[in-house]
Amino acid sequence: MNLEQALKWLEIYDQEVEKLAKNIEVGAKELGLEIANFSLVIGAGLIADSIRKHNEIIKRAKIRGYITSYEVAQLYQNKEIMKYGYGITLGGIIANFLINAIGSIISYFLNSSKRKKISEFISNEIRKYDQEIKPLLNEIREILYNQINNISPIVFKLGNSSDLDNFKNFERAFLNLEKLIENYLKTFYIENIYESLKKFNHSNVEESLKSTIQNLSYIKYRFYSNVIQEWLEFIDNLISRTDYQHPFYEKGIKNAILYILLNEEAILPKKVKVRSLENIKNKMFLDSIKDIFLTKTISYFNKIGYKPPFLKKLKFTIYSLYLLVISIFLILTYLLFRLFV
Amino acid sequence: MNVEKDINKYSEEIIKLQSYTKISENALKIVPYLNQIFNGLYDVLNNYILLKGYSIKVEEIRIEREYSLGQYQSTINYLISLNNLTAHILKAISEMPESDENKKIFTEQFLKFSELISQLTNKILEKL
Repeated sequence: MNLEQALKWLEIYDQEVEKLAKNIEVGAKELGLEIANFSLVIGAGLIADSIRKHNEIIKRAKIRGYITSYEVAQLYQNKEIMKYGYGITLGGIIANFLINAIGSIISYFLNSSKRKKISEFISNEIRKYDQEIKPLLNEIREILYNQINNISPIVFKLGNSSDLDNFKNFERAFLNLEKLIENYLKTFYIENIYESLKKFNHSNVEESLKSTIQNLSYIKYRFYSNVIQEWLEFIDNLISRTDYQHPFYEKGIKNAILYILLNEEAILPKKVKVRSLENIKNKMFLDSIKDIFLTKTISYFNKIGYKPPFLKKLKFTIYSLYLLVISIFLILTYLLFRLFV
Repeated sequence: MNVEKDINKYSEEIIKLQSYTKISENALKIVPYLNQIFNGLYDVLNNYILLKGYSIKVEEIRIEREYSLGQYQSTINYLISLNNLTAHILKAISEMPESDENKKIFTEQFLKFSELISQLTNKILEKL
């Protein structure tokens, strides 16, 4: 599991523990209330019953003019029952407060242990980054930088060759370069995630985790934007260096662009769910990346005179949608006309 | 005197019976409360087990990340050697004349190692 996935898991953990702690708190409150209700019903019943019996005995004794020893014993017994009634009622109310307090304490401890766990996890990741991951990333970046510098002239050279084997290698080198550039930029992407973790506010774990996750998607889109920009620059460079009349060139560049297009389409999210201002910012950013990429790709295709089949389909879909909207509008206008005029 | 004694005895019995009836009535009232209490306790226990599961998962993620980091350290040395190897191959290619037949083989070898480097780095970066 990588850091991005781990952070998303921490977010789930944070939400679930908060939900469970709240459940326990609310459950304890309800349990306390149930016990209080129950003791009130029993206690009040006993008190009311003994008061009624007490009044009856006194009334009977008053009419008679004297009181029997048995009635005295009954009065005494009633008094005792009344005491139990008060005891049960009071006990229920005290139990309610106690259970409520225990529920709140458990919920507080659960939340604080969750905060501690998340905070420890993030501190551990930051420590690991400073001690081990940062040098590792620098090492990988250097290797990838060397590879990109070494392979780029080979791609240009192979692209200009008229030999069939060289052309096959051109495609192979092109695809490998794509991966190398992506990995090179990924090292910055990972570094950015760790750097954003360093700003984590440990005194407000929940909010900090939320903003870190939101920031994560911004870092991700920036990474994709960089990948696409690098690629567009590379294709620009390739187009300016290679001969258009070359027999393998058209196929090579077409395949490469289609490969990138399909690859980026698979990586970039189709839609960003807009729930906050941060999401709107991300959505606008993502839309701008997609716009730049699509406009550039179409211009490349126009340059080499290639019409991809999915664009024809897209055009057809857009036209049919226009037609549908216009027909619905016309039908509605007609219906409104018939209704009111 | 006996009659009074009997009346007292019977009324004592009646009071006893009345108290039994009261107890059974109250016991019936307790049942829904007990049901609610047990449901509440079950929910609390269920939530606690779920909570334990999540805590264990967080610990598992931490251990897994620690473990994979140890593995990357050994892979990086291999990557450095591969990088040096590609640099040597590239140097050999640049020194070869255009007509040399081996140039194609060397280029293919270079591409093969370069692909291996990108695959390995990709694997490491995916886990970081």
